[in-house]
Amino acid sequence: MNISDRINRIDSKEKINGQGKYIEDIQFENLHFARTLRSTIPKGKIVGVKYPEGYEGICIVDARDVYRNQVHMIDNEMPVFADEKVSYIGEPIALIVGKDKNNIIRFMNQIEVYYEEEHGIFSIDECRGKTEQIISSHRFDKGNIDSLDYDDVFEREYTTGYQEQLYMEKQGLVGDFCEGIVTIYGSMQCPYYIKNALLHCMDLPSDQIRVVQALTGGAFGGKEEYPSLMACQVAAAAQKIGAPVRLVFDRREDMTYTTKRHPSRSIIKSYLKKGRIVGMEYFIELDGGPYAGLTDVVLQRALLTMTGCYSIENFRAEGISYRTNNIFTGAFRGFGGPQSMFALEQHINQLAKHLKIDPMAFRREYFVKQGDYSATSGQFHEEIFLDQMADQLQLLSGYQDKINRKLPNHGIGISFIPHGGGFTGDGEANHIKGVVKLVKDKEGYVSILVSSVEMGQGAKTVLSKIVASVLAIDIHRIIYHNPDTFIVPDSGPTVASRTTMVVGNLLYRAAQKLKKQMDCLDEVVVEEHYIHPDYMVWDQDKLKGNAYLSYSWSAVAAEVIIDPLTYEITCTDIYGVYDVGTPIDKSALLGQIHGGIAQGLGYGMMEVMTSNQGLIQHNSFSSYTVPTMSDMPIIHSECLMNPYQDGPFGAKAAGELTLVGVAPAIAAAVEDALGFEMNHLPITPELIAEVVLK
Amino acid sequence: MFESFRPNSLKDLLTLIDGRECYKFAGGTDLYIRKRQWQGAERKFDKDVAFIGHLDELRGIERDGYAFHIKACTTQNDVVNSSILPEYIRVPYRLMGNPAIRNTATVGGNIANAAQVADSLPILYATDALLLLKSILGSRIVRIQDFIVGKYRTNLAKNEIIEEVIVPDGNFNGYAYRKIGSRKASILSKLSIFIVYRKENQILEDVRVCIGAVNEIPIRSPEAEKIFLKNHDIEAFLLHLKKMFDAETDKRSTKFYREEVSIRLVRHFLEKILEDGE
Repeated sequence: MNISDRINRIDSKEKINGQGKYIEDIQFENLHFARTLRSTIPKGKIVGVKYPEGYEGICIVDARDVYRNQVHMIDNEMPVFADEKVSYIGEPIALIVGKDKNNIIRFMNQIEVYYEEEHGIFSIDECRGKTEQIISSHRFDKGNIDSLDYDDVFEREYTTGYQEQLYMEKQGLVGDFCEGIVTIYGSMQCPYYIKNALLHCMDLPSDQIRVVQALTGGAFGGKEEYPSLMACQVAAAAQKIGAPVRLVFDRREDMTYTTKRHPSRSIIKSYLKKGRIVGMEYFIELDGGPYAGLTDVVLQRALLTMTGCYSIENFRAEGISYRTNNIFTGAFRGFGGPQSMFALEQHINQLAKHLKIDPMAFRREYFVKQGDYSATSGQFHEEIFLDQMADQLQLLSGYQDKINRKLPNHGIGISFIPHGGGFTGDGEANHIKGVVKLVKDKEGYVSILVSSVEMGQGAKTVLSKIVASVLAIDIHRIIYHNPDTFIVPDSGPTVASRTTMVVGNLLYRAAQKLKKQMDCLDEVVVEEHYIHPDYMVWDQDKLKGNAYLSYSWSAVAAEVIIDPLTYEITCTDIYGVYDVGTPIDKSALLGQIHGGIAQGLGYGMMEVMTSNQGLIQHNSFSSYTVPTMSDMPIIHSECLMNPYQDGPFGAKAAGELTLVGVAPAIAAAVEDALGFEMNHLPITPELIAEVVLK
Repeated sequence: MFESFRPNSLKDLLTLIDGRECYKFAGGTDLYIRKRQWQGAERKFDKDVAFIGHLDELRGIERDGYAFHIKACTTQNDVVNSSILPEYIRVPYRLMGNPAIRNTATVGGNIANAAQVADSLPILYATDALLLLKSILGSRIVRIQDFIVGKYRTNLAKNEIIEEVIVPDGNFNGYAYRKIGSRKASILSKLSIFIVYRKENQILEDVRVCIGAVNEIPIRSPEAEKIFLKNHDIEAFLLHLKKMFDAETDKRSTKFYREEVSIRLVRHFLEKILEDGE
């Protein structure tokens, strides 16, 4: 069997037949429920909290119950519970815990919190020029941008809005405290992030902290850092009352108060000489909300691949993330890429139009090739086939005919996107240091011990398939339980499109070692540690060198029809050509492609989410409109085989890439149909009406 | 705390609500959601609840020589699948909510709820529908326009229920309907346009134009329609409608978009109606 051949997903049966237990389905003895008392103002001091009297069976858990009132993410600035001050609407002040939900809700309806309200900051505009609002900033150059010889300048500004992950299963954890050990069960991407957060906020040694992932119904980055906050809270609650405590958000609560994609504003300035780009300046600003969280890492990812698929000789990138009193923003599939790549691709389209060159032909002049230098001046060490992908896309989509025929209200647009696999720069080597284990038991069954989780993306199927294929055994002889930090080593978080490429490769190597010992009658344990390839050179302080281990690439075309009366957009077809190395499973990859297109379509033209004075307005399925099947275009996809030497069987990153290129292609198609520039996402009929009619 | 009741007959229901103010819970697809506090905990009803959706006396669709009679607890899907009702009534119901909602939500519920986005109201306004209201004391008939007072506000008395919706048969032979939402299915309206007309021997004899979800209550002007029937002056008609606009920008759409697109669609449909057969 070829590694890419389709197999059934390992996890689909229990999810379809209902046997699978999500955290809300799991029974615990003496279970207590928790509901969050939240700030109702965006910024201010807490003067006092008045709890009602006469209630039994209610326990209040707040800042006083936490050993160290800090949530450890990258830094420790976010409190587990707001104490004295609040910085956003919805910030947790306390957990109200009890066994009777009605009792809890009646108690909560009578709580009064007294605030001294302060002036909040709610937009990037208000932050500009205020150094105290800066969370982080970066600037780096390539070539020499200051002494350019140019005869034309082309400058545009681009903005993007919030996007909600909208995982089907809401955030939910249970904390338990038993015989001195605190255990967190629940829906999560990163068991060891949670463990490290607990290690920081609790007065407990490492061997008394345990994190166990439960079946997880989608995450998309939304369960990367956020569950650490909830875990610190339920751990404190469980420790205080000595019983399991369940904290599961309601849908509106989840949509209103948990992390979203960062709103952004970008300015791109291209310097031209005789119609050729000789230099480019890029400036991006992100709204990080009140706490840093992962914002700086998102900003870095937005900046590092800022020149996209193009070789730009002289370049300057600058980025700032701001602190506001909006909801705090965080990880989301694409992680900065969707914002910066929308800006760049729109800019390239508009520049091509400005120069009266076909946008496909214009891009081809600048496609990066092996040996070229990236935005961060790192040399592309792999073969890059952007020209072939462009050929393939033109064939697949009939691009040339469609761009030439100019049917009224019809448009076609394209995008070319790189996405770096794994952590940025030397992150895999210096921060993650991934470890995996394989254990063969006496019956010849092989257990995969990793902290990487199945969250619907297909990790269990893909990683099991890699190990089974190397060992040449039936996949049913592979055992892969949901990770439990008492059992599995830290293979790193389930993020950054790294699971197949990085963790999969560690397992690939471990399986190769194990293969030689499969005849052994005893139990065999093989452990494998991450080794940084020597072609990776990186200076984190200067953001210089090879920003990513390898790049995956997409070439996407979108076709739209716009209703001339109502400006409603129908995306009829999406064509995609993907270079993700060797697909480990064609079905799994197709799942990523279809899902990425659905989520990218939403980001591009449907999912409006706004905040009013710090309060999210679109917080339900009826007001936050993700695509339904009726909104989905026909999807045509192909792969270009370009194996990566350090990926398992040649596999590269695939998870995030498929989302990033969709919105830019749709935006370009809308521009093609209407002849007006579209510089904001999402592109709604309301936006078009403003641009066209006003 | 609140109490809930499940009367066995219409008479029992009317007796119950005569002495006690109750939420009248039919399909509950909006009411039950609006009253939630926390999944698994009690709903926040500040009045008692009377369940009425199970009463067979309140379900069914009939036709007599003059009108269509739809009982209040008839589900939206009953309307969609009706062999009695004309297409122009059925189509807007087909685009409401989603299949699960339409199998539960009722015709009367959508009216009594009186949401700005209630998609059934434009049809009822355009057709000059009447409501048969009933209490223990007797019945009364009101025009839909007199029943709906504002967003979520009606003239239903505490001791009354809507028993029946009466849609007069206007002998229409053409209609146009367009619902604009932010996606193609399972969506609330930003605006909707409903037009019914009768055209005989290429002469437009009757036309009704109603715009939903733009103002708090549907927009319709029978006077302007009468003038339009005489002069066929679309722009003058539109000018009249424009004066009635009172849209707001909210999380679903903008004032500008709602008003502009309403005008464009009405113009488009009226042009087509005038052209047809000429």
